[in-house]
Amino acid sequence: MKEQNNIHQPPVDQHAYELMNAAIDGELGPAEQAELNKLLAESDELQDFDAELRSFVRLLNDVPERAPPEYLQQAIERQIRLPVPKNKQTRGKAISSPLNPKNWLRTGLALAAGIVLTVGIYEMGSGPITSRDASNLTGTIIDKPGSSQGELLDSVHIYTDTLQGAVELRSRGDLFSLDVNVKSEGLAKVVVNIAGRGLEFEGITNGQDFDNDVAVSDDLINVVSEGAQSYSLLLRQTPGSQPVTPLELEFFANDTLVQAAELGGSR
Amino acid sequence: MSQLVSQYQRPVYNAAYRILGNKDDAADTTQTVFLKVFEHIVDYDPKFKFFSWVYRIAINESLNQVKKRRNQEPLADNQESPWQSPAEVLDSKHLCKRVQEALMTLNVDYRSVVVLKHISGCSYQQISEILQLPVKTVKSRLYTARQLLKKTLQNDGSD
Repeated sequence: MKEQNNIHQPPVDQHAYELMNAAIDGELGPAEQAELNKLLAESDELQDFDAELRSFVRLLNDVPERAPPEYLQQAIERQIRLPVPKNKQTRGKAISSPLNPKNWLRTGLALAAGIVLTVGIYEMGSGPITSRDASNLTGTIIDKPGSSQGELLDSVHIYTDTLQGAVELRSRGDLFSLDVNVKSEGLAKVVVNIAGRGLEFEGITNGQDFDNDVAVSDDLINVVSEGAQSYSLLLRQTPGSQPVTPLELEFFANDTLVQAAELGGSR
Repeated sequence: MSQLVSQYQRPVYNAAYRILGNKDDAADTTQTVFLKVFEHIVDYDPKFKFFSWVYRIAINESLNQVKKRRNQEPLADNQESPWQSPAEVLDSKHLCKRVQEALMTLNVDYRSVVVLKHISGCSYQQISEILQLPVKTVKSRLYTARQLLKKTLQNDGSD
């Protein structure tokens, strides 16, 4: 850096050099442009230097782009667990994986401690969840279920101008959770369609100040939040039913649908 | 999501490549950048342009990579060809290599500004947002970097 500083002085007046650079970059105002024009008109040396500088900047701008390696996009997508393309998903089909009851047993055993903690904290932190009335806001707030993250089954990211975030579908033993992290400028609404999915709303968890409105019916779960919010929607298998995927989600920003997604489709 | 990767992987890769001077490091860095984008997407502040946020992550990751390998041999895939003549700088197929070699002689603070301006095509204001520097500092670094690059290329050409 020291060595570079010793040689960086331009061979012309510093102010003129700055004006020439800004002009080449198209970032000069009319008054400064007039000033530069005057300086150039008065000096052949400056004109020569300006021409040389323009030629050099053109050279820098002409450096061609390099194509990324062909494998790169796929490698990135593999790492970030992209949602399955719609044409590869099976809508309404009884699932074989990962929500298959056989897999529940396996993952349930592996997550036994987490389940106990989850259910335990849930029971300590809330009363019974009873309402399924679509006309009322009935979300039940319970504490964050400890450190039990559960097994990640699928995820979706939202990156619109007005709403950004991610939703992860996790298996937590006999429960499933939709872990939602969203951030919006105004109101953000997440709608989960559980109609015919063999799942019931069990509760909503949050470890921070809770500022969400939750409406639940047999078919839909609506959560409205503002600003940056993190919460988990807990779902339980309806007795006598088989869970069915994918779950359909819709994301609204200020009542405008900005993205729709499906979670838990077969891969 | 695939669309986001498609849209940004090329500019992110090119910015990383021009800062790092090595295609493998650039590819690794690009992967890391997208992982961070998705991990931290809830931290994105909509006050800023989304691409500025992505570029900021890209530049920071590239600079981290530079720090990690500071003591390693630089320009592993760019050292094989000596300078041939000044005229070639302007119009030959060696242009890219010459400029890249000159870029790698710059301090990374200067290099980042040059890459954002000339490779990524950002305005002063955008560079200011990405690097979180005052516009005045962006200008100063860019103008100095140009002068340094010009001298380096001229010196190489006169060898």
